[in-house]
Amino acid sequence: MAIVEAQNLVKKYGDFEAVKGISFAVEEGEVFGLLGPNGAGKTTTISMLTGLFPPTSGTALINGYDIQKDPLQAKQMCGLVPQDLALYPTLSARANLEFFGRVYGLSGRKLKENIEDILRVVSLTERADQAIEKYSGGMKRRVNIAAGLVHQPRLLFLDEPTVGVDPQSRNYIFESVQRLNRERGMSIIYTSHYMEEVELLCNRVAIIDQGKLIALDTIKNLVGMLGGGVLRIGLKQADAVLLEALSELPAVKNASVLQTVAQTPPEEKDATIQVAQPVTVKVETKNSQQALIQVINYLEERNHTLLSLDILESNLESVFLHLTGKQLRE
Amino acid sequence: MKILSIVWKDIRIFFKEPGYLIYLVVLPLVFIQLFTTLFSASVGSSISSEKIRLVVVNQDTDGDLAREFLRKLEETGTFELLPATLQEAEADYKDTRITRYLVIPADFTKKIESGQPSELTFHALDSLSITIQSMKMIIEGVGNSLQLERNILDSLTLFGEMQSSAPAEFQIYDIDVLTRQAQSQFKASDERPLVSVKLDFPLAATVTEEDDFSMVQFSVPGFTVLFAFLVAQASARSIYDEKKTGSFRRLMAAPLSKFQLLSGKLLPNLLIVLFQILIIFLSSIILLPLTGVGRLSLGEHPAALLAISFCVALCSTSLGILIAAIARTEAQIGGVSALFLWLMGFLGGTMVPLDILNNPMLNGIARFIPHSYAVTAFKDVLIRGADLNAVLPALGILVGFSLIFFLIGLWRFDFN
Repeated sequence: MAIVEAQNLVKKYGDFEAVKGISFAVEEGEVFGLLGPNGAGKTTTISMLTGLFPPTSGTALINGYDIQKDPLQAKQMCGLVPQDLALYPTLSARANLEFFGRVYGLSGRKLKENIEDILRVVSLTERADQAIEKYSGGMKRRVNIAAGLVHQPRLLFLDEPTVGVDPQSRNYIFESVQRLNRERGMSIIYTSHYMEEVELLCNRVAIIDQGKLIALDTIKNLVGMLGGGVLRIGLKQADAVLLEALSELPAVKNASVLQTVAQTPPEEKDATIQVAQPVTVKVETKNSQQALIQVINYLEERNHTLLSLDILESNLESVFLHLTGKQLRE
Repeated sequence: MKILSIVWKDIRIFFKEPGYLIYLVVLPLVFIQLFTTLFSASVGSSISSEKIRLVVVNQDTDGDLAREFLRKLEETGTFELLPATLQEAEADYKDTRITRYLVIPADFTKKIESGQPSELTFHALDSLSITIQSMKMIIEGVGNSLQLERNILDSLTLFGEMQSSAPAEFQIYDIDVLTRQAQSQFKASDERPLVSVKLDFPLAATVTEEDDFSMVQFSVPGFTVLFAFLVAQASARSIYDEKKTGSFRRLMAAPLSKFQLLSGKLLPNLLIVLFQILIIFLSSIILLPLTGVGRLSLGEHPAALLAISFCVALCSTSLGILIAAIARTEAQIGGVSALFLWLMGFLGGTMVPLDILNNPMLNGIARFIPHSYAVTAFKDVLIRGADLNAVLPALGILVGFSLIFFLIGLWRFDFN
């Protein structure tokens, strides 16, 4: 059974469309990744799913409850761990957890048991009564996660939980996500722009770019889309003739000019090709080894100066590059 | 239950911030102490080498004895008399521009001349202070002296008439007879004075005989209102901090309605203001007298103070929501709102009573500032002994301000 069903979610801010009709479903017990660059619409999507604000159009069901029509029932199912440390620094960890537990309707023995349990999970029992402003950054992160878990939600939203986090705390977060899913069967929606994290944690991944869902599948299937791999070639200049010639090489599937997030928008792509300036060309291959030899030979014969050459691994980064023509973190 | 958990959390956070406690509770007491000391010193609270200015309403304008009485009063060297009409004196007294005035009735001369007692009315806010009691004694003394002089003159006239009409053998000047007569007149003047002074004062200004009225009655209402409204800044700051840290987002994702969320954020502010007023009033009764600036009297109707406090808390809380809705940055909340609240406080007459400034433009502006109504309501109860009914119009206006602030705040509030 799907614990989340999003149907054609749209969010507009005036003329700007932040989310453009996203649909997907998350199965119970699944760790589901939302991958995309900054500003892609991940947090807006999460915000609509958690009822922070309503979608302009479309529906979202949480365990069958419509987030707009039955917001209290839907929200009761969810826990949210925001990117920021959404805590009260002058209060102790226990007081913070007590407060968030009560907000979700817990009280008495059940509240106490849940707090003790989650303090054990995040290994903070001994320092639970200390004001969290005195904690280290990593400990604060743990309390931040605990606050989203104290009411034992069936669905946990983790919104870019590792931004600005030290490697040790990051590993701790990974372990926690895996343990919660494995031991408690908790469904998790994990947003990130770090493809390594999503590859490590998630069963399925939705790739979002510019408010659109551009791919949704298991990581294996997404990576399989790439076939023989991708070459990234830096050239002094490239025109339509060169790209066509590269595309016709036997081991090459397609060649195109690579855009980065910060570069010219897609509608101006053709104009960019004509400009004589250093460019990066993406070459999708049937077999990366053979394609590499053929491409280098061709460029040498035509006296093109090779500025750089990368053989990209078959991973989500390459998938994103393949799907959008852009790199995830540029 | 969920609302209460937000309330409890915010109150715990408030009491963990010593800065807030100092700013909202200790600072007003310091201001009250300083203001009372400085203001008392500037107006002079006791009889000194300087003449005491006394507004006099002489309604017996054509009466010789009234004029004579005033001349004798001035001759004591204690008073500088300031003539005024009854309307002028009443208006100034009501607005506390003057704290005392003396009224000579229209039939003063007529009554004294016909041997009937006449009563002067001495209106004073600080009725039991040493100054006022001394002034009353001097006025009574002048009255007695006037009566005595008149009685002795009458007696001498009577003796003259008796001697002129009596046979020669009886026309003897008997010093013993005259002395006895004079003593009798002194005694009569003492037991049945023709000129008495009635002291008229607001009941609220007197609690026990040990109390000596002081500027505390003026400064406590003003500074209480000023700092009660400054809590609005703390309230706006609390909401801003929640938004900044992301905890507001977390609360929005929790199964709470917007009503519960906003109520949970409003109620602590309301309770904090009530707590703040309670502490300021208690300290003004218990602690301030220890510093020698006098003790606050709660008046005859302390229940009315509760109603005013509640309305002030409500208005301050609504203003907090409005500031939180309008101010977008920390600087706006911290700087601009503080400036705005202090300016409102000044224009609302919390620091310097508007009566003293007596500026028509400022008085006009004050009508659009809730502080002025709150200060007036507190003063009416504390100084003039007004009851709840008397301050209901001011409370109604405060509730109206609260409603306007709240609705605009709600309209502009960005839950996202």
